[in-house]
Amino acid sequence: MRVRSPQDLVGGIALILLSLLAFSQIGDLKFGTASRMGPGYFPTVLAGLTGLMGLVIAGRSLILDGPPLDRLHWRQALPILGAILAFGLAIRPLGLVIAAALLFAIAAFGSSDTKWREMLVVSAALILFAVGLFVLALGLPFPLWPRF
Amino acid sequence: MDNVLSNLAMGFGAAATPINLGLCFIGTLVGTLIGVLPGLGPIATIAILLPITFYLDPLGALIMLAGIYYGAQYGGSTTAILVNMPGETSSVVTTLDGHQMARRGRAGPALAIAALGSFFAGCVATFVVALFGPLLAAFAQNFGPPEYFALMLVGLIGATVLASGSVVKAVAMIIVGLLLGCVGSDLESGEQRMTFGIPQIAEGINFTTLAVGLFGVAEILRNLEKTADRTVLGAKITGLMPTWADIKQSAMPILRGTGIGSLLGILPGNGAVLAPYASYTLEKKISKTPSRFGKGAIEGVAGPESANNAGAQTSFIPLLTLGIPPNAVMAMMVGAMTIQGIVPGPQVMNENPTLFWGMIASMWIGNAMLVIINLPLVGVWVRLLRVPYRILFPAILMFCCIGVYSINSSGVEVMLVALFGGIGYFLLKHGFEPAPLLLAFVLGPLMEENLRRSFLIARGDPTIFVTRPLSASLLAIALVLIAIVLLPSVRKRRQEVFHEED
Repeated sequence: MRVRSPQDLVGGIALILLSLLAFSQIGDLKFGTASRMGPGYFPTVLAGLTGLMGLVIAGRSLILDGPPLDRLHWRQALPILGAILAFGLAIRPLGLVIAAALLFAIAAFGSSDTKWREMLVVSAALILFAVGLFVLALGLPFPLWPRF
Repeated sequence: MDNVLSNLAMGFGAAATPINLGLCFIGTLVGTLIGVLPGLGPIATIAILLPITFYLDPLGALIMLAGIYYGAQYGGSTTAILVNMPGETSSVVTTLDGHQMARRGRAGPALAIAALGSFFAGCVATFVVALFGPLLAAFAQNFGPPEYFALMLVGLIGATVLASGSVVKAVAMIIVGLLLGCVGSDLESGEQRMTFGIPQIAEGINFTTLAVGLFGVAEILRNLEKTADRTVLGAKITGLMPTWADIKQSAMPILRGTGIGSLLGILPGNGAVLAPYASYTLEKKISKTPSRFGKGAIEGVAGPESANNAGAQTSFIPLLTLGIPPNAVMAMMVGAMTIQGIVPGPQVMNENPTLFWGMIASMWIGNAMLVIINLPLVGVWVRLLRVPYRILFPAILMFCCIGVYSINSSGVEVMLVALFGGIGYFLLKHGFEPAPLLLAFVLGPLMEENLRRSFLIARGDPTIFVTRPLSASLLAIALVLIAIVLLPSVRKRRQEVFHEED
């Protein structure tokens, strides 16, 4: 048995895992009958189909040739995703200015050609722009600074 | 016909207020901007700007968002011609002959024909929407739940057939999208479904959060992988005006491209992406000198560029008249309408005629603005391409975060963007298209509701879908679509067409 399409194998397994995750969450939602569909009816059918598609795609990967796995660039991806998480965590307690500064500082690690001095200027300009557009012009209710 | 004209007149009245003209201008300007810049598409942009539209009135919001979409079709061609890099997937074909023209010193005429062809197509498509919209809406008044369910099924199947890449994977994405659409409280019983106990998704996953993650963030991650710099053609653009011979050569391709685009735009799937391929193939086939194609044939620019703009505009027809988005961008428009408290569907035209006709009229106004934005200012756009990505991506990232936070003032939703961004990146890396997922996510709750009602009417008898003539014909269309995609010759052709896209 040789894996002919590694991308499909991984993708198929991910779908099967998603299906299991969905089933675990559906739990004891009522399935109902066709004429009276319960809250669990549609999700159960779809979770089942997701698993089925996963099996098909994973199974197909053993028969049909496909592209090799594409390398995941964690060095780029993790800082960007981390920067978003940091913004989400910081915006409430620390306010827009610090949250955005954190966002830029962490995201800068995601680009391989970051120039720190340039990044500093860009960040400052963007923060000023954001405060001007979203808070002053559009009047969105954003906390700007930490609240003590 | 008189009716259409008087309605259009009303529409122009609504769209030509200073504030709406301004919003139309902003929309088309932003559209051109993201069209020029590779790596930021209309779906992500509309997703990012969606929260801001909450503060506008419904007509203004839709005018601006629509402008972004068709504006992107214009901007995409500029990059395709000058840099040999499609700014949008819809202008991939334009690189073939457009860039060759530019290399032969004829960048000016190529840009001009692309813009004029798009403008012509935009004008015609505006009329197509105005003519066919009311007809289709009247027809849709006869639709019951089974018909709506069947129609959405056709739409989803159409989206897989016309998606690029593997059909099986597109189907999988649709099912996952429907599944994600189930998250949140059940419409009937109010019970919590698959919420993992997270209060922020108790009312369902926020549409904007999902779209920003899947399209905005995932796109950034993919772009950061490539460190290569963009090289812009150094040559000066001299003489924008096409010669008389150019215009004569382009006239028929523009007409045909407009026809193809208008037709494919109405069908489910992404008409703006598919139509240029169809137009290019046709022009090459009927040309007396097919050997010129790929070496700077102006027909190869005129046809596809008209087709993608026509397709972008007529894809509003299913949304405005049936309430069913034919592609992911239109799914975003559903999101915009929902934010404004408008339920898309055939009733919009009667209950909210200024919205319907104002939006159509704004498309014509927007197209006129685009010619001005694009032709004289082309130098500005080219210079913009020199802005390195390391400066652009922090800005995009910031707009993503602030946009999502502003919906509910919820930091948790911003963190969900990171989750969906990671998922989107995984999907891209494993050959899954996120667009069908988003479309299905929007249609999911509607489908469940209509399925539930259909079964209620029929007391659980599934034959209701085939005994009602309208829904039976729709299901037949769905079957034909499946059959077509499984035909060996079509499969091969499909692979060839989409292969060029990579």
